[in-house]
Amino acid sequence: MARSSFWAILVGRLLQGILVVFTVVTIVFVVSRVVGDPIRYLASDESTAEEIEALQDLFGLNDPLYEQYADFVWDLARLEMGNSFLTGRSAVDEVRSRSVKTLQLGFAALLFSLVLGVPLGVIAALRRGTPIDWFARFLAVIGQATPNFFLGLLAIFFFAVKLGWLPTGGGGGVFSTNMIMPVVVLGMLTSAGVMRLTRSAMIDVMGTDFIRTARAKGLRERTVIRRHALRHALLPVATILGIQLGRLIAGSVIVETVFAWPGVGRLTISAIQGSDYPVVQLSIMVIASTIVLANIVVDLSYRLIDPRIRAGNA
Amino acid sequence: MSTKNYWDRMRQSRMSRRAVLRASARGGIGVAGLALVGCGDDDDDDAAVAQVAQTEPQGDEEEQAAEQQAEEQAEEQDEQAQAEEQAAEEQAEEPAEQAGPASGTTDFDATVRMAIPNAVGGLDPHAAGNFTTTFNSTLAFARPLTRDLVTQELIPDSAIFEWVEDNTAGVYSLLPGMKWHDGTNVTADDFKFSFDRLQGIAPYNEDGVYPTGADYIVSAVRDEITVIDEDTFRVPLETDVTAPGSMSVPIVPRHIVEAGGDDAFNMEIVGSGPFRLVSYTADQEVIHERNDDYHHPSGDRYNIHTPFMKQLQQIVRPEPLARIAALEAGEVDLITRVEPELIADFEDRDGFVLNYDPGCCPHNIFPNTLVPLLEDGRNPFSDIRVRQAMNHAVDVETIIATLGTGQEIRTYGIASRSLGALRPEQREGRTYEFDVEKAKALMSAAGYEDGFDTPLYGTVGFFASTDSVALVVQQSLKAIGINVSLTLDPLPDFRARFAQKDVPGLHYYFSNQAPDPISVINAEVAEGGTLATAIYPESGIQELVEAQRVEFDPIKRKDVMNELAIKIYENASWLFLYETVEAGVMRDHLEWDAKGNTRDHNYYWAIRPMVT
Repeated sequence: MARSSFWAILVGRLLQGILVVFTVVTIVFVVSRVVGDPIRYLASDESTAEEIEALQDLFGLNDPLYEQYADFVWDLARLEMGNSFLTGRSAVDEVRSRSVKTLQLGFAALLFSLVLGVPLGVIAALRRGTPIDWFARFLAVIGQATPNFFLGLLAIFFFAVKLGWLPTGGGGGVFSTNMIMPVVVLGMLTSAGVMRLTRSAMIDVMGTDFIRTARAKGLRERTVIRRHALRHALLPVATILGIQLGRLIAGSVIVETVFAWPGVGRLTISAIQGSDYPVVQLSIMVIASTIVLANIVVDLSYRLIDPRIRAGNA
Repeated sequence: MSTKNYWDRMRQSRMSRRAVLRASARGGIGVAGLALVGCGDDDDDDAAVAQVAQTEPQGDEEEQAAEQQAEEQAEEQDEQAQAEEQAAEEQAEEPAEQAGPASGTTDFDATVRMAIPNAVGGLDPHAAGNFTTTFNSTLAFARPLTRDLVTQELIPDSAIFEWVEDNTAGVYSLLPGMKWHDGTNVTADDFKFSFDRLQGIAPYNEDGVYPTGADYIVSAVRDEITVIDEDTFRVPLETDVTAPGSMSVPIVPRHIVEAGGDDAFNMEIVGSGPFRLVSYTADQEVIHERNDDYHHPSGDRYNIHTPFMKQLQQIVRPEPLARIAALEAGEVDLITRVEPELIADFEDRDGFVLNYDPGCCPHNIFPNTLVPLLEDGRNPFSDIRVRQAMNHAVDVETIIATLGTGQEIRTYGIASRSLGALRPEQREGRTYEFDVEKAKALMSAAGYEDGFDTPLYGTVGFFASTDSVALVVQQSLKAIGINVSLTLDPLPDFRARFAQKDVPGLHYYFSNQAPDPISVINAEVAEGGTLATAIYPESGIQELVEAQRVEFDPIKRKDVMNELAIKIYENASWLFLYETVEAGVMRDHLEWDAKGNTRDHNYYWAIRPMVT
């Protein structure tokens, strides 16, 4: 791919991404104001109309919607996201402290899905039609069909209540035991996808001529698999990782609630429940931006990895 | 079940297990950890974590702080020496106590752990939006007055109240010996500051606006509050007997708020209440410890005394099932506010105590009589016979038995467990028994034998079974010709519509359960109340509302309140349903007598951990 072409594509994708994120945030802006009203949470049953109006004035909620939107866009352009209605703290601070936790969970879940999905996919492909293959595929179906919240509650019941091995929830550092269940539950869906993709790619690759040639050269089967087959089979897996990361970040909303993990997903739920507009807008923007960025990275890396696309583009 | 998890036990286990753990760490977790180093761990820099007790000297203050630290260390050493000396003396005097407290006695060193659904927002009890954490933040703060849970009388929490100047002002005299959690004295100036802060007129507030949402608490204050001396202040008040009780203003320390500002105080509260905050991690945990300097010692009145426990740890588990799991796994000692059916099987389990307590909220259906319902301009709900018919048409007892836990009780008046209710002996002959034929007859007598159409707005997802109850009410009213179109919304949406007061039909809402229902009267009964849609000008209710406000004799006031309750019930002002129960489970080493009040009203200082 020519250097100028790469930059042109990058700029194009970034502009598209900004447009997507802006559209998402605009939809969130409108919908949250249509269905929610923060004053319901800030005022009590006994607050008078004057007191409620004073609160609305304070948060700029008495202005017409288009004026609120204009203020919002102007603030967004200056990267000023306002303060949380609920805590008074900067929305950026609120979301930043939680985003780290969600990324921690997301990357760990991605790693888990690779560690589980790739070897299982390879073994299933190499032992096609055997009980191992059936087991792997059964596991994949379970992983993809079971809702996160249900799997999470099952895991809590089994590993925390019955066995007492793990805590029921709560936040923690990278090496804390609190991370194990959320990571496994969040990564199950992705690992099932990775497993299936690896298996089918391996089956395809193992039937190709260059594998036959490698074997004919007298290479050991292990070398054939590791150095030739697996490298090719992982190409599609690598390209979907970015998208999977985005899905993991978005999917963390439920897992974080079940396991009381203090990430941006939990924050978003709390903020939506409390109509905390600044925090809702910013947290959704962060989630949307993560997904968009992941897609851009995948798009570009795919071009870099696969010579056929590079050639086609040229 | 052991409170230690697998990893804790592994550490104490034999060598081979350690080897297994080490191998696992190398093979799996270690790789994961290395890959995640880039993500970091924000435990250290999370601004939401307020380690109240730990501050570090910075910049130019380091030298001064070092000197201070040295002084403190010297003081600590002196104190330690004194404590050791005292301990030695005590040991000599009471050798029997060396073995520690006996089984069955109160464990004053215990930590009580409980799971809570959330801890969002800040802890400042004055700040807007802290309703989700108010039940936590109030542990640390005192109010001027409170109510005795048994007698319902106003009693001093932190001040003695006296009406003066022909009941146009009140004088508060502070109880002796009150201290803030930082050790400084509580003064009358702090009280004035707290009242002023809620009104947005505290001196530090240059904007003159304070986002509280709780300023109604001080709505009875007519004019400027004056500090008479260090322990006394005067408040010009509306002549209303309920004014001092309604002003449940949490008292905050002026010097802390002014020094740090609102936002800092919201995360690092300092109060004078029975618990002092140790740490608060938003959405994770709140830790309080006993305030040994609390001005109500142990053995004082039930609802205000120094806690028995040493520490209270509240951990967040948003999912109800996860809270139950935390209890079963031994992570916590008690859970509250769980749907009864989820914990019913704890009834027969060893080691646990299942509690059913009065809930927060009587459930009633409020007809809107302020706006016409029918196209011809009539409003059938303005006719008492229609309202009586509705009450006879709904089988409340069966609803309680089938859709509830069976522990709920019918509502009589404003709230059956309060001053604003019919006394048990007054219920005989007044109860609206389930009688469809009588209901139909009342509808005919009112001229609605063909019935009419009405919307019924209800909630979903806030209280258990309200959607099912609404469906039963819909079918019950259909039997007497009232065709109900049902709309169920989340509580905030419902409440916004209800508060508009111009939406005709029926509104299924919940009142507050309070010993003195004045807040319910002001909001839902008094003409002009923020949620008062069921208004009956000819009923005499408003006159009684006014009368109880200026009845200063406590005994006579109870009678007026009772008269008001009878009037509201006989007037069939609402469709009376039932009062909820709160369900909770605790481990059996805890004793907690709720004294007729709900355990969710944060009387956590009354929890008595026992030595087992």
